Amino acid sequence: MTATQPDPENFLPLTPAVFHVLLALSDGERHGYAIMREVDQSTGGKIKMGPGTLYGTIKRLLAARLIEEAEERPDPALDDERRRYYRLTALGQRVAKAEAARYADMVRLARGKKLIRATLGGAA
Amino acid sequence: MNTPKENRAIALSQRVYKRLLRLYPRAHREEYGTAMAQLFRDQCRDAWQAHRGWGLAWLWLHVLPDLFKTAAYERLANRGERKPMFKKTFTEIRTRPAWLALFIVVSLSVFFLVVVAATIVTFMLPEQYSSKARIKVERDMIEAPGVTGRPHMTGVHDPYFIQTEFEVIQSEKILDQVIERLDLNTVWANKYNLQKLKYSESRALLKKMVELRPARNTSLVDITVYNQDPAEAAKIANTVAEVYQTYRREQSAMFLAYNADEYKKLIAELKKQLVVKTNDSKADDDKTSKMIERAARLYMASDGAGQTLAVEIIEHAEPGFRPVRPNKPLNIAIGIGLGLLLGLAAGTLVTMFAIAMRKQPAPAQ
Repeated sequence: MTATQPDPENFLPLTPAVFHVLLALSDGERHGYAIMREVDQSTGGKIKMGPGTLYGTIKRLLAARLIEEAEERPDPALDDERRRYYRLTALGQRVAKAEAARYADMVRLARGKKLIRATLGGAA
Repeated sequence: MNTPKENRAIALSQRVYKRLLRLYPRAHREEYGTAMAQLFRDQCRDAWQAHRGWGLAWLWLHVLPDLFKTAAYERLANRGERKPMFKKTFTEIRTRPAWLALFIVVSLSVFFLVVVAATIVTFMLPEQYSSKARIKVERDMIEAPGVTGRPHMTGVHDPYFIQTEFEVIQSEKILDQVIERLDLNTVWANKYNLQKLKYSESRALLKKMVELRPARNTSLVDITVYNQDPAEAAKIANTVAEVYQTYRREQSAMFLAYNADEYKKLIAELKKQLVVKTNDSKADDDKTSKMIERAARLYMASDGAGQTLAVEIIEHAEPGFRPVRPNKPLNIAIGIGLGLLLGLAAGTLVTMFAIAMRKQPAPAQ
């Protein structure tokens, strides 16, 4: 018997912090500090997450089963073995895709209204 | 490799952060406290490497509001949990207007920010030791000849005497000799990895280190020197005292020599006066007695044995055992006081602003 998978649409819209964490984990497993740095770099420093926000978000994402803690620990010689690594679950990936699609729809809508230019990243 | 100062600053920041983690509910703390502390340590290292102390201060500026906000959120989310700390406060906040929560969060954020900044700055400041030499400063018995061309006896009260001598001690004349004797131009250049310093540069540094203070109702003066090296502080304090003493001795010797010379001339005149007499015996007597009186005074003035020692070193400076600057408890206490004041002011201002904004009527559609 297979368990019914929750509908990703039920999780939307995501808060910016949640979406950025999901985006950071879409490339693979990361620990907390790596997630924070990825968010900082990918947003050009516009979004800075403190430890409180990051782990609050991780806690809620774990509870919602959108992410999970990676079982395997890295080689202690390469990294601190106490670090906890996180990765997206299948549901998390679907939710991230759904949110990205929602953003894409909104961008399309904004272009239609000529609020933003047709070129990617161009501001109105 | 980490420097001791870096280790100290990061370790202190981490200790404070770990304490502040107690603001979170216990379950959250047990699950994520270690990871959060580890992440904060990584942030501290990066911040220190990027901008040293300012980087750490900037990090705290971002972390504290995040910490208070998320701690409050986690506590509200876990309100069913039995937690003694803050439970009542935040339960009350739930039922009271949101401005109270805003006031508390802003006030606490500013308070902790100021206290943490004051603590970090205090622990990052270089430690300084003090050494004190004590000298007894008396006025010279003989001063420079007046308009009559004759040296005069002192004894008149001079209210500006000590202030004048303080200026003398801190003058180029004294300090340059101290620099020369201790070769401070080279010593400090090596210490701070600079080229050989000029006298003016060393003098400016020296002036900042030397503090002069009179002992109340006495003619004693304390020469206190603050320096990161206790041995150097003692050496400088003793040298300042010695150079000043030598300077005053030279001044006295100069006057003594002048008076001895004058005395000799006068005696020669007296001898002539006794041989060559005029018809006016009264005038001769007056002149002779005046010359004898002046000769006696000059004799006394030219005789160094009759004078007290103008500057005497009462206590030599010894290297200090423990740093006296910065005064850590005082600085932290000031930080707490200032943090309270600024926290309350910021909390009140932000809350009033928020209330005022809410009261504004919505714009017409």
